[in-house]
Amino acid sequence: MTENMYYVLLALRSPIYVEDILSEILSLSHGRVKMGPGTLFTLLTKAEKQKFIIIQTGKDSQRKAYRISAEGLEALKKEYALLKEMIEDGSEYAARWPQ
Amino acid sequence: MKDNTKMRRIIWFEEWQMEIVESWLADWARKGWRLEKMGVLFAVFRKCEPSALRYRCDANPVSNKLGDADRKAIYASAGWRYIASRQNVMIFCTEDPAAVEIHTDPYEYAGIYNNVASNNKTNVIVNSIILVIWIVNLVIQGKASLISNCLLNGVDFSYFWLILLFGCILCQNIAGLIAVSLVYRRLSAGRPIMHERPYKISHHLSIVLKPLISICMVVFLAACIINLVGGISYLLPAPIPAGRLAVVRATDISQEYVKAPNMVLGSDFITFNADNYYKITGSILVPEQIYLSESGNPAGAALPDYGESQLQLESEKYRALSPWLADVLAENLSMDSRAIDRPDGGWGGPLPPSADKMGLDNLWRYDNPDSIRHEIVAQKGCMVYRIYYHGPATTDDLLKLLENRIAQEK
Repeated sequence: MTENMYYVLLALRSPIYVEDILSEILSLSHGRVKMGPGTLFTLLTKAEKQKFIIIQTGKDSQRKAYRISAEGLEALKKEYALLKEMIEDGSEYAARWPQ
Repeated sequence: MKDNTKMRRIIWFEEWQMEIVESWLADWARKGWRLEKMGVLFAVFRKCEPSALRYRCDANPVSNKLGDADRKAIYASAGWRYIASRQNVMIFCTEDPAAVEIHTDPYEYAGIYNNVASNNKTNVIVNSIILVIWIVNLVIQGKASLISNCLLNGVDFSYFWLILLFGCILCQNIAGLIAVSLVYRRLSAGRPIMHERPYKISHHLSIVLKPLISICMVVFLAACIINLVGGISYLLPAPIPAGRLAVVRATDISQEYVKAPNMVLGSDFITFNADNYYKITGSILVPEQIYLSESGNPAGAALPDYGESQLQLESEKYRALSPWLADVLAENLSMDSRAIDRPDGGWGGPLPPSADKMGLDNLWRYDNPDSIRHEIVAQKGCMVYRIYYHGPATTDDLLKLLENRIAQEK
């Protein structure tokens, strides 16, 4: 999973409108990940194909809300565990990094 | 009343020239013209204050289950306003110089460019197949000899135009495939795309190529119409030109020859007889032709096998531009005749003394006493003669008549 996909899935942890996803990602990454709308759209298309997301349409509204699916959450948890493991692997050596 | 705030321009760019279109649109914005609409052929601009607008062309992904509305909403949230669509590309615009680029991940963008490259590949393959089919068809139709085919049937320009047309389109497709592949390679290496590329050279190339293709298309259509009209004129041929006579007339063969009712030279029947078709004007490959088909009843002459069959005569004379062309034409006429209803034999052989006397360069003759069909094809210098006769006389008689006619011509 790429960094961008990780943040997209993270942003969809609760239902969110498409126009809010980019700002949510910016907020989640503390302003570090400035994702382009084309990239987000490509990732959402890819995530939809992999069944990582669920698109909800409200009864009284044409606006669609996006949220992460069970499969997406599973993939996100795996990625998180992997990243954590990587951090732990590095932290042993990081303490002894030369100044 | 003319709307001075609106301007229409032809788009000479291909779908794959996205960065060049961005540059072109930004140039117009700097000149005070903002893109309003875009079709396949035309872009419509609206007068505005000169501004530094950023345009981006974004290729559509292969599957878009999310829908265009959501796509536009996402782009709008980043400051990119949807303007127009052209073929498989959406065009967005922003006035905000700080707006983040539409694609920030070259690897993800490479996937979309791969789709564009796939479309180009398909176009190249389809156009190549069409081009090869046309060329093979041309060779087969020309019996592997383009010149021979032109000599016998005239030049069918529609084939040449079609090949030229598809050749031009194929060149454009290949150029597109190369360009898109280069961008794809750049993106796959993790390098961002170069937006708003200078378009001057490509623009000029397009301005030359596209009108050329358009002209080819128009000429092709015109050629088709001319062919169609030509086909009609074949059914309704021009009257027999004054002063031009057939090599041999039916009355030269039989004094008892009686023309069928109304079969008089210049009468409506002859004029509208599809067999009497003249290529009055010659060209480099199409020889001038004098042709006459006559039929009637030789009084008292009963033709074996067919009873009181009609006497038939076809007499042609061609003037080619060179002896070599005349030779090729004569050979092909003999081949053509043999292919139609002469199984074998009777053609070729050594030249008879009369042919030497006439100074003929080549002679093909055919006698079939069973079916009373006789034919000669003779070539002398630039001239080619063909006489087909269905009646009691033989090719020796036809040669004598030809000898007399050549002597008269002298």
